[in-house]
Amino acid sequence: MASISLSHITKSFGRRKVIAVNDVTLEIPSDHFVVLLGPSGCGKSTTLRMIAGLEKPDQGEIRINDRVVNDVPPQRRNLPFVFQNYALYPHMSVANNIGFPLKMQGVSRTEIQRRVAGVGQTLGLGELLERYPAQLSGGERQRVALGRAIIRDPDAFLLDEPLSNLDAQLRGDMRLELAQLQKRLRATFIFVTHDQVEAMTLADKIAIMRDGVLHQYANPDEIYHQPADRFVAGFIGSPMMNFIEGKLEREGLNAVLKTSDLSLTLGPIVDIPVSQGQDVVLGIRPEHFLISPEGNNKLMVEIVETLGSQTFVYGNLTERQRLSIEVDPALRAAAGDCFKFEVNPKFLHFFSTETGQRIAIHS
Amino acid sequence: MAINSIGWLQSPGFRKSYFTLLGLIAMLLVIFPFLWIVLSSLRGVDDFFSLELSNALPQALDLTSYKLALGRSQLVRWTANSLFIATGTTLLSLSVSAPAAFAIARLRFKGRRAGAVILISSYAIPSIMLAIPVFVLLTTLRLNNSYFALILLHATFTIPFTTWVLQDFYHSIPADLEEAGYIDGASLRQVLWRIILPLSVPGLLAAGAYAFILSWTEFLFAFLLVQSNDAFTAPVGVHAFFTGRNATESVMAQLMAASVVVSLPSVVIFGYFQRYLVSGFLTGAVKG
Repeated sequence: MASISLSHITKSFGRRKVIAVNDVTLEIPSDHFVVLLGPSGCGKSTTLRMIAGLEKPDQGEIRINDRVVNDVPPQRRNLPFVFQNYALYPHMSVANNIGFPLKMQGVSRTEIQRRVAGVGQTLGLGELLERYPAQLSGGERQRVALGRAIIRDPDAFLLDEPLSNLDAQLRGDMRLELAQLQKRLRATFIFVTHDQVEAMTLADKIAIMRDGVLHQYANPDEIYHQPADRFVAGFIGSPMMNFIEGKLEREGLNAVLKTSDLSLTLGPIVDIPVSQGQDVVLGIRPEHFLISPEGNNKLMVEIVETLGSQTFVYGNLTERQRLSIEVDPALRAAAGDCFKFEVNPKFLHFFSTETGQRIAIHS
Repeated sequence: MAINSIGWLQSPGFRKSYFTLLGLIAMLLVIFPFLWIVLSSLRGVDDFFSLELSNALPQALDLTSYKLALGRSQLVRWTANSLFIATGTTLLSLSVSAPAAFAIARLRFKGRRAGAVILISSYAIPSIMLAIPVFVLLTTLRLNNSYFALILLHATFTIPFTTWVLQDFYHSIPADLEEAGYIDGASLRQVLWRIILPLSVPGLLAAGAYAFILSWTEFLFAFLLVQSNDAFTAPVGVHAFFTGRNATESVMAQLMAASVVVSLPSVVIFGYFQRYLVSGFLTGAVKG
């Protein structure tokens, strides 16, 4: 199986040279499931298309198993690509769609039939082989597209938002199937999505991009708990991480975040050794608050979101500062309630007000 | 009350019949000459020049003119010649314009845009301007009086148009399908042959029908280049009815009959392919 590496890849489009991918360096180890994640237009699909050979980078090198492939056409990369709309050939039956790559390799007809039958069985397409794409449901088309990729016994799989055209239920099922498939095939998967849930559940490693720039490349746990910058922190997690911009100061034995109209107690300076008067952006995830009668801070609840296993309350801390907090569903929070809360000093994130980069303050 | 009294002008029923009427008038204007030819060809020779309304419809089906026309001339042979030339033109046009249109629609190369513009602007040149140079050129090459030359010449008129129709059609095929082909290991030629062309059948039929009809009805160059009676195309043959004859009623009636016979193949082709013609020409227009 294949390891793929991108080294300082840059790509721009059009006469105005709009930069789609900006100096991206990425090591994708063999047999890993790597997800390229980001909002639309962040360059993730362009990056995938460059790996496939459908686009050529302006600068930088792409290597597959240590071989530079910048000038190798897609036909000779052995990297199947699953398109967002599946791109099944409408005039070919399911069997011919799946067998097409083998036909192009000059494999004999009987051998193609044998392998198509095998793949059909693996993906549960056995009875659909003689049908045409227009006669299939979304999920079945998705499987055919995967079948066309699997049959080649490839070095790696490239998938461009393959689940985004499916309804929610099916998306969940296919997500599981993909994870199982990758384990079974022991293959390198590179998967593009804008859906953080897909990324977090599927990936061994996530590459988060915005405006063509790679912001962080790490495993899901690290991405969630140690976001490299304010963008990553805000993009991952729902509801979004709370950000409060202010000055870190000492108040007695406590570290406090001060803004013009707010003073938020963060915890003992033993845990947060602040230097006096440092400008920071504080980040706290909704689940890292503690509702307690001894809490030093107060929130008036405006909106309650009940999801069953979780409840989120939203309110204004000050006129300008909104906050979202996860509370125990047993509290039965209602609009108009007033909660006293503390923050969990172990799970605070600090970012530079200028660059947005993570700042290490914890002891 | 005053407003109500003209309300019927805006009623859907009135508007529908109004537009239907306009459509009928337009259709009648277009179809009248052909209708007149068909009716005249079926009328008795004696009534040929009569403008009496009672004589407009043939009293009895009189096929004398057809018999005379077919008997006296090589109408069948000329029709066969035209069939050969039009088929040749169609095949040549499609085999050149199908890949050319693909290049214009999908490949990126220097001069692509300029090439496409030159191709379509060749339509701005009136063919009569080319008549003498083409005649001199083909005579020098000893290609006059040959079907091959005529096919080549007709194709030069049809290729720009068929290329344009096809490249428009290709635009309606998702680029993903083509890219999926490359990913699956297909070469450029295999992508065109196995993916793009099978999906372009309506476009190919539309472009092909157009090329066929244009070649079938072409008169000027066929008249200039083909000299022997045997080799006439259908339109030139029909024209030859007059040559050396007085325009008697009988000759005129035969001319009408010959015109009907000669028009039939293109009418049939058009009738059969018209739904593709419409869809083929509109695909590009409505995809946006």
